[in-house]
Amino acid sequence: MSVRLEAIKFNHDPTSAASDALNIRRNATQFVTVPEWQRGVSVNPEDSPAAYSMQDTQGQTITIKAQLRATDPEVKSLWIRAVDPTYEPAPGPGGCGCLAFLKWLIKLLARLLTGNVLGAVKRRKITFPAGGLTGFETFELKKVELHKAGVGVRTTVWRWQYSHKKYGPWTDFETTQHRIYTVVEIPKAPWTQTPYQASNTQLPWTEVLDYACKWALLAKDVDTAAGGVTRGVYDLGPGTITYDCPGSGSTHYSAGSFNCTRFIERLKGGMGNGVYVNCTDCATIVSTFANALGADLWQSRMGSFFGLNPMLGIGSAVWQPCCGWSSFSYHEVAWKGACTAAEEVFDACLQVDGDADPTAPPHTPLLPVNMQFGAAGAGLYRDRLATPPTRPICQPNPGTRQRRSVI
Amino acid sequence: MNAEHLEQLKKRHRYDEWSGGTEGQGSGASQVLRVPEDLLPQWRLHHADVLRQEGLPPMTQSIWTRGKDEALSVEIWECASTAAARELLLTLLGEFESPLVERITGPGSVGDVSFGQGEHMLLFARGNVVVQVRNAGRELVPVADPAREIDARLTRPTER
Repeated sequence: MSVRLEAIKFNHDPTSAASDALNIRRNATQFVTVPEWQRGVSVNPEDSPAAYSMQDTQGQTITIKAQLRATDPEVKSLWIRAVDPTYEPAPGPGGCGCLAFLKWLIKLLARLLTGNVLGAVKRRKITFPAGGLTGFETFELKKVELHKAGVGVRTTVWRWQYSHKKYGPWTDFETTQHRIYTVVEIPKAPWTQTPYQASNTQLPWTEVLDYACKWALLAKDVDTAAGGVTRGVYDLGPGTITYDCPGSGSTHYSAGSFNCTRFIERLKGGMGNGVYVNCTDCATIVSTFANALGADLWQSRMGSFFGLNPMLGIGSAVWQPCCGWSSFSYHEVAWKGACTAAEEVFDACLQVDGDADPTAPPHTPLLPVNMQFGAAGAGLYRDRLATPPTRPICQPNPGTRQRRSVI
Repeated sequence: MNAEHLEQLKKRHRYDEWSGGTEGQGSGASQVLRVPEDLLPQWRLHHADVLRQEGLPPMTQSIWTRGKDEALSVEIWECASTAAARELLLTLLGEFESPLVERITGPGSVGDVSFGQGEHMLLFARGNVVVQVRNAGRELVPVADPAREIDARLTRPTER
């Protein structure tokens, strides 16, 4: 063996998201250090995480930086590249017919769901200095499929090869694996990209992306992604969380800040802050997880003391006004824009009746996903949630609009 | 919370009747805010987080477990004064989606002023401290006894 891979940087320019990865951390206490892949340190894909924005990288050439070492002092330069071991070109027109094409298509779909979206590393000539250790050399990626694939958490495997000549023959010298997150756009508040330092706990967390990317798998726009997150959160009931009827519908995770650490503990099967959530928790979870994918949602309230149509509260299979109460003193949802009647809401706390008469059986469950709040009588979210006489007092309260910071 | 909602809450919960309090009715809050493991002797402390919320006094949120599915959430705020604790109590009443939370008077009352709905949630103020005790597990337990144990700790002279 003439050469060794020492390290790879995916996020090599913290000021840009166009040609490299986003600034991320793992959770409230652990930062993702760069280089993300290091010899002897990174073994599994999750040891080498990187996140990319589909919107920001579209049409751009994505680059990584790699550090190499020549282990043979006689070697002065080599051609280096990394190939995707799972890549198969499409069968040609004169090829093996429908069955071959079908097999190729299935493999392609599998790749888009779970496989390599960063493509391959283009070959380039590397000159080794005295001592053999290079600096971080820039490599361009080719056959990148971030945009084709949509939102997801996937594993990129690269087989690194060297050659003494530009066109080979090529010799394998390393295989690396990386956990690649694809989001729609740069994450929005409470998530930030600056300041890029270990003490900034509001850099996007991979522990949040692990769930958000799964819930919004394959989404290519922020509304679809936010819808996926809303469904994912609602579907956590009743196994993981359920509406806080015993505690009168109060927050367990979002008092002031969003205790995302405890919520993730709950998602992983631990105690967290317990099984109960209310609307504030659902609004905060949906907006925080969706905004990690690039959505631009707020937590905002409506009120107050309005009557309720029958609904399915999160974790409940019984159509009734929430917990059997006659009304809500307030309600909070993930909300777009200015959080007025003209904007759309994403409510993971409950399903409304989606048919022509939301006040009476039969009931048609409808999760409010990108549903306009609407005016009283417009047949939109407000009418499906509130009883006809109290619809006028079920008013958006945009003064409560906020994005809780994550802890 | 907007001003209109605040006014509704004041009227609904007859805030004038309990907004005042005698200063100096204070408590051993600093002892309790550190959440001693024997705060609830029949329960095991799972974790305690100290949370600092903008515009609110520091709060400790702790989770206590017992058996397979019983869990309690205990939140304790230490305010600057008794009056501030009563204001915080009103603010917290505005955080219940249920319209059925009512003031508890008589033998079921805990602390100086307490509110609840049924037996599974209790919110009370004692001196400059506000405490909320709720169920956090699937197996529901009445919270009056744990709330009284915390209140007793707050008023224990040795804790002051």
